[in-house]
Amino acid sequence: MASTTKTAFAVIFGILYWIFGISMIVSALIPGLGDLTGQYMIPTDPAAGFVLCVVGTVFLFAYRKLAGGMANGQAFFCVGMGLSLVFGIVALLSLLATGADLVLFGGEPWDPVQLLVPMVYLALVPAIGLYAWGREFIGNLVGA
Amino acid sequence: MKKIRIALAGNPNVGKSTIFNVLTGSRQHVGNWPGVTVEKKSGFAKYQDYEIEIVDLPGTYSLTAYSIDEVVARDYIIDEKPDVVIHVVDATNFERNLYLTTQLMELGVPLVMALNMSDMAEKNGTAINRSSMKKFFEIPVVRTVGSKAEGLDELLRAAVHEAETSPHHEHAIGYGDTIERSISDLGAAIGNDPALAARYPPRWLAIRLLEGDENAKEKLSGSQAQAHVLALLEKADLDQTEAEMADRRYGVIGALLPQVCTTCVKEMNSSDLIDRVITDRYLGIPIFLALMWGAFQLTFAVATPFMTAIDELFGYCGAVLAGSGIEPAWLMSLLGDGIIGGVGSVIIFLPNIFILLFLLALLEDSGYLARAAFVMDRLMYAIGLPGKSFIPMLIGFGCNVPAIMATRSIEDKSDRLITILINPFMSCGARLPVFVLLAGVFFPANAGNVVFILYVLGIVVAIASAWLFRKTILPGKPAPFLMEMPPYRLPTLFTSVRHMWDRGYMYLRKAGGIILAGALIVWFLATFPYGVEYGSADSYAGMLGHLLQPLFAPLGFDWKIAVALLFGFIAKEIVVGSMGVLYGAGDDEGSLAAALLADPSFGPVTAFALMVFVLLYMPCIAALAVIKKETGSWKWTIFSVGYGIAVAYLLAFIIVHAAPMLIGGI
Repeated sequence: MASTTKTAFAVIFGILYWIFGISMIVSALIPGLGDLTGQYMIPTDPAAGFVLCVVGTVFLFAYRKLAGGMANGQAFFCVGMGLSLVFGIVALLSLLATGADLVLFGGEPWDPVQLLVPMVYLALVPAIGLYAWGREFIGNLVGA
Repeated sequence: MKKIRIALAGNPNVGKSTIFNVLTGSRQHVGNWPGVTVEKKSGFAKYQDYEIEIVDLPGTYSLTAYSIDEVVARDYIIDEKPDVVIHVVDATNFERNLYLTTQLMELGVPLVMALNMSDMAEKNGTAINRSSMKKFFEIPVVRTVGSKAEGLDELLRAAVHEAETSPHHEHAIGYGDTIERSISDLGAAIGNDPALAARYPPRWLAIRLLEGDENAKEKLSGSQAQAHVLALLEKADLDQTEAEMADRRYGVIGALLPQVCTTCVKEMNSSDLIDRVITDRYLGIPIFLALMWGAFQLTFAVATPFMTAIDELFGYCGAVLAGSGIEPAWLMSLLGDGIIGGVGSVIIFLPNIFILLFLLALLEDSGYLARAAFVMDRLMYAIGLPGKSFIPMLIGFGCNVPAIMATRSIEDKSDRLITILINPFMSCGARLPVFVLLAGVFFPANAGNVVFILYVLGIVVAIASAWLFRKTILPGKPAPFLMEMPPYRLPTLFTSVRHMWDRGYMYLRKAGGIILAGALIVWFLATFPYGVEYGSADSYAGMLGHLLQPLFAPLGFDWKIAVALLFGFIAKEIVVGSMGVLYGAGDDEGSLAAALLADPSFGPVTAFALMVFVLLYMPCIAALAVIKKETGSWKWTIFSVGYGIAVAYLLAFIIVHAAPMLIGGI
């Protein structure tokens, strides 16, 4: 049962990460598309889009291996969730720092809604998944 | 009293030196192996009526000839023919040690195995069956604990017995029909020279030659068999053969291991499983690139409020000083323009540097950097460098000084030298102020992309240079990747902060020492002769700049830039400070930006050419001192300066002259 849930989780997030990643890349290539994607809180950022595609690929690998009953499927699954969390934190810290600079030194208003970028909101569910399914896996690391 | 000679061989850190010290006590001699700087330790021990000379060979993972340690260890065993070789094995890491065992057995030397650190292995539940070992390997196996001097009497007894009584023969590993035919042909050709065959076991030499061992090839020089052997070698695909032979040896180890140690065949743990993902042949490099993006994203974004705070603080200090009415005027200028302006323009970039160093420390402490080196090995190998070169190159993004020191982990001399020579092309934190300033002023909409292009350009020039050096002045093949992977750890904040501080402190010391001194020199040259306008063409700096200007004229750089670049030799950070002084902007970034934009000799093309020049032109004085120390050679140190200037000049020249044509063409 748990394995089926993980498999479904991996394929859903693999596809989601790819959709958002490709959107961020393509919106930089096609003039005018950025305005449209921007309305859906998908900024134009090809580098960040590439990162989302990488995380999505790890999830899709996890899906393939979990569905095939391979022993290392759990590793791909946990690393996918781990990467998702890491990049979510990277994006959150970067946006908070930009906001802090604007508010503290620029005297400009800053809207917390700017924190809602795909790298941050997509990481929320995998972070919970990592807590639920990855604790034992991570706990086995030295020094953990 | 009878005399015998024993050589202690084994992997690094298996307790070989501990056993050596216990056996020889104070009767030791430490020197160097002939012709190399590798330490040679020998000593004497007495056992019954035997006087035993014991030689501690350098620790090696194999008997290939990829590092000087391996050549020294191997040549001693072959040329000096010790009566017995004691192979010291770390019982807690049994499987890894067996690769060297297979190679020692192929040499056909009288061999005794010391299963060292057995107490720790037993405590961990590792049960090695010594009688099975003896049966399969046909060598005596002794349980030892070097640190407690346990089993050492038995070890000497077994060694003496082996030296005096046992017949010895080569242990052959079957390498498959095709390779065996090649070994047989080569062995027969080697056998045509009886002197060569008497000195080196023909099968062993044939195997070494098929593994592409250049050192083994040298052993053929002067032999009547040389031409025939080389002709046979030309027909073989040596890279493929080497890989297949290594696979066969691991196959033998894999087959024997479960029979001699039922608890050594471990299930994969979390660390092993993560490696399956991180080092995956398709995902490894994309994951690495994504993590690097994350590191640079944090470096620039998180540093921004801290940089603004420092900028405001120095601005406030400048304003307080300006209102203090300090006399005489030159003292005010020294404090304001020289110290606050010069050092302030550098200190502002501390947040970037410390954050980057912290993130590199996190990656290193987690165990990821070693995997990054492994992932990049294939790519590095293609340009003529080993994967291990990658870590110093990565550290070079922080500071070239610790990066060049980090090349000590590279065993091969040529590999290490190439890595040292290309390291200054990796854009260190000191160059960042120049990039941030110029990219921000002349490419405001694409500043981040321009800085990223410069980092990539540095990597490209480093790669091209490595390839060029490998093809010309430092020929040869890079050593194969052999590196112990530390287990993954969740890094602690304290450890990573300490590592960041250790490296960042060097930068702070530079700011307080070299950079302050550089800022004061710039101030002096810009202020005097007394009475001239600060930083004007009439100042010493102006005169010096005009003297140098003809050299830089083809690049479109005026005298101010010439002076700034000259002082950049002291430390790259000083370039921005010098420009601030010479443009009369002090530490105020906004004023300097306005002055640069107003300068008719400056435009986006010149700015980009200047950034490329600063990226490549020469290591700073601290990096040069380390290059001299690590290479031990003035020749390579001067070469590093000359090569860097030549590449920087050439690329800046191309940019200045080709860009207008391209832009015009568009």
